Amino acid sequence: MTAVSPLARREARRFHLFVSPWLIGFVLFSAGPIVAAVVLSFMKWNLLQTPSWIGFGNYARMFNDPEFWESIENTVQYGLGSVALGVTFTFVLALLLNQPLRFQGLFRTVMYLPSVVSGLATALLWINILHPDYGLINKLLASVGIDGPGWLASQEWAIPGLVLMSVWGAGNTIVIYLAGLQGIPKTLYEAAEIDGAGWWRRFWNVTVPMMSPVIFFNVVTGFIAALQSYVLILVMTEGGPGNATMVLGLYIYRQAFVYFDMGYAATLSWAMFVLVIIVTAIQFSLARRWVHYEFK
Amino acid sequence: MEMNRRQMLALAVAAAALSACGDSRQQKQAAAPVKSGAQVIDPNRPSSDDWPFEEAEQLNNSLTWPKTNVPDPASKVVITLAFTTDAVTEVRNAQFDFFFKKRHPNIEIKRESATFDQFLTKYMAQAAGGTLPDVLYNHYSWTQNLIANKVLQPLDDYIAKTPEFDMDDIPQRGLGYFQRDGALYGLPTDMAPKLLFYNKDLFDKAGLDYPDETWTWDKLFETAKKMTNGSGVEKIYGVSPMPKPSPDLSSVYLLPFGGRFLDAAESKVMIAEPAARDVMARWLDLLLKDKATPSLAELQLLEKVDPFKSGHAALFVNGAWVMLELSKQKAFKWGATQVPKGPEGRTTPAVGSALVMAASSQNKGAAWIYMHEYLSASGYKFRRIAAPARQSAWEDTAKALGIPAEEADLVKKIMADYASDDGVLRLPANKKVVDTALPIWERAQLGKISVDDALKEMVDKVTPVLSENKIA
Repeated sequence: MTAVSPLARREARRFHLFVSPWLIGFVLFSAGPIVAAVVLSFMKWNLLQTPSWIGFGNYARMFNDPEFWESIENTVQYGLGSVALGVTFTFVLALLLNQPLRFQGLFRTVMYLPSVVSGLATALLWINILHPDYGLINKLLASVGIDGPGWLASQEWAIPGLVLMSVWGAGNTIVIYLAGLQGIPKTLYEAAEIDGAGWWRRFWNVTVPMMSPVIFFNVVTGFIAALQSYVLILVMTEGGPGNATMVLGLYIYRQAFVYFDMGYAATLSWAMFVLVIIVTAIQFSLARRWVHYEFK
Repeated sequence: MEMNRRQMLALAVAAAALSACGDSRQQKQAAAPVKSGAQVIDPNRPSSDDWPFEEAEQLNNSLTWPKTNVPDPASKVVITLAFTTDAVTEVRNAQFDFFFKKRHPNIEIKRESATFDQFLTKYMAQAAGGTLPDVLYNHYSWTQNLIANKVLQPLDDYIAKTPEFDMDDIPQRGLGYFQRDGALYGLPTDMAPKLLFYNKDLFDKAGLDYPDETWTWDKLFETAKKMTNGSGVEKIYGVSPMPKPSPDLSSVYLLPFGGRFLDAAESKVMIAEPAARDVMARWLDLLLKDKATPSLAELQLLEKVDPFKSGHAALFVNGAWVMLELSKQKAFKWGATQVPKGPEGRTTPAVGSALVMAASSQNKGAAWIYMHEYLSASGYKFRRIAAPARQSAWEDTAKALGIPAEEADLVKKIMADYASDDGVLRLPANKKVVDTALPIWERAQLGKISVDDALKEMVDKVTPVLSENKIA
């Protein structure tokens, strides 16, 4: 057995001292509520009465709750739409911002700015942008002869409207893409050019494969964020019209903090957790087919 | 002098400990202005452009403040008050507290404010933790749940000890929300009926007589169609808003035809039965066929501000409290009359919010003294709110707020004659009932489903919710 030196012991003590604020915070504010949510999901509790054990009652109710399934459908639609649009749009923007242009720093700052705008301001801004009458988007559509939809007032167009809005704060994703783009060795492009590859070939055979781990990261984290979204949707549509934008996060919020049905809300939270796990697992299994790692 | 790291750490810990143990009296004496939302209210001289301090002081001194047999505390106590008010009203409340503290030097007041949307969530969490404020605002639809869970203090003993607290001056038919098993748990801060408002300019332009107490709902439908004209931003709607599943749907729109949303016990959905069905179908026709009331998309165009308020609707069914807002606008002349009659008569809800006392309060006597003065005739005269529950306060309030005297008289007459809490949802599941039925009705409004399918779906989906509506 190797004896532990006094220096190593001192370092260990200091390590534990420095990580303890995070550990205490995690146990109190994350691990504690997670364990409480497991227990609560088997209980009926309206905050005012003593919680009562109902076994799998909340789970049975959830599987028979049409609004739950409707919210899952809306959540998946919103998640697919916002990730597909967000990942593509921000990748294109990152490619443009990676070009050696004058005022490159200014362009990058401007693109990042929306990420620091508060959520409520973003919601109010987009309510106006998506306004069926005077909104910017419908004005632009009208200028090319298209009669724009009712967006948030329409059952069919409310989710697409929210998807458009979701791209707004994508500055962080762009930063991650830019870092990835700048990490691609120039030698690869030079070699491709010597082989006679044009712009598209260089993009498709060098940039995309080299960026695939970054794209994969953004897809996974983007999905997780999209599946949990509800704050802006609460402000913008409150789940309407006709429950068209009732996503799972909003449904959980409503059960917990409007109806004070804490047990059922805890059950729904576990459903969200399972949904996130399933979607992430699918992405990891598909990743083998398209994500290229230079070093394995 | 140089210190090593250990000495630095010891000094920092000692400084933190000393500051935590410091004398707080100095802070209390020189109370900093209280920041509330965007405004700062000076606790030593609360005032604003709307509520100048001098005017408040003069008014306070002119009023006679009532007495109670509940004694003032012998030593200092602190009571906590939780309200949901706008920034303008908050200044008036701060002025009330300022003068109240002068009358009752042993009662300190700690005031909390939360937005209406956040209020119930915040205080349900506090109720769960047993740390509710002593006195708190309560919407009429919340109170029964809190009573059933023994969160609230019955007020009857305190009222009995206060002969000057004139209960006859408060509309008795509007107290059902706050009563249970013969006890009263809340006292209304405001209470008013719904009325039929009309735009005099639009009626003059159309050459039609103004609505009056002879009107029936048939007459309203017929006139609404006639008054509808124009398109886009120039459009004039005959009537707004479109009825929707809400706590007072029955009392305004369905009871005059013998229909109901839920039965009186809130245990059965009745909206698909013929009397209610026919009313809902007529409104849907008015929306989809006659375009005489704003659609969901049009309401979004108007940013949820009712078109009546901008002069774009001829008729408007709403609470008497909007008279304050209407009185301030100069864009058009308006009038108000009783809601129309139906074959079964005329009905309107008496709705309002209340002040309640927490059963857990450690200072119930002081809390009552505050509630008593706040809700007394002098309290109403001082506060000048748009729809006072105390009927004797209407004249002074209306005069001070610019509400026409004849409209104030009309409200008093309705409150005395027939406004009541009958048909207004109040049991614990009422919010869930409304949230379940509303999206279905929205699909009907969008023309996605027929009125019969919508109402049948409402019955199917709301009925299971009612199993949660029982109070133990």
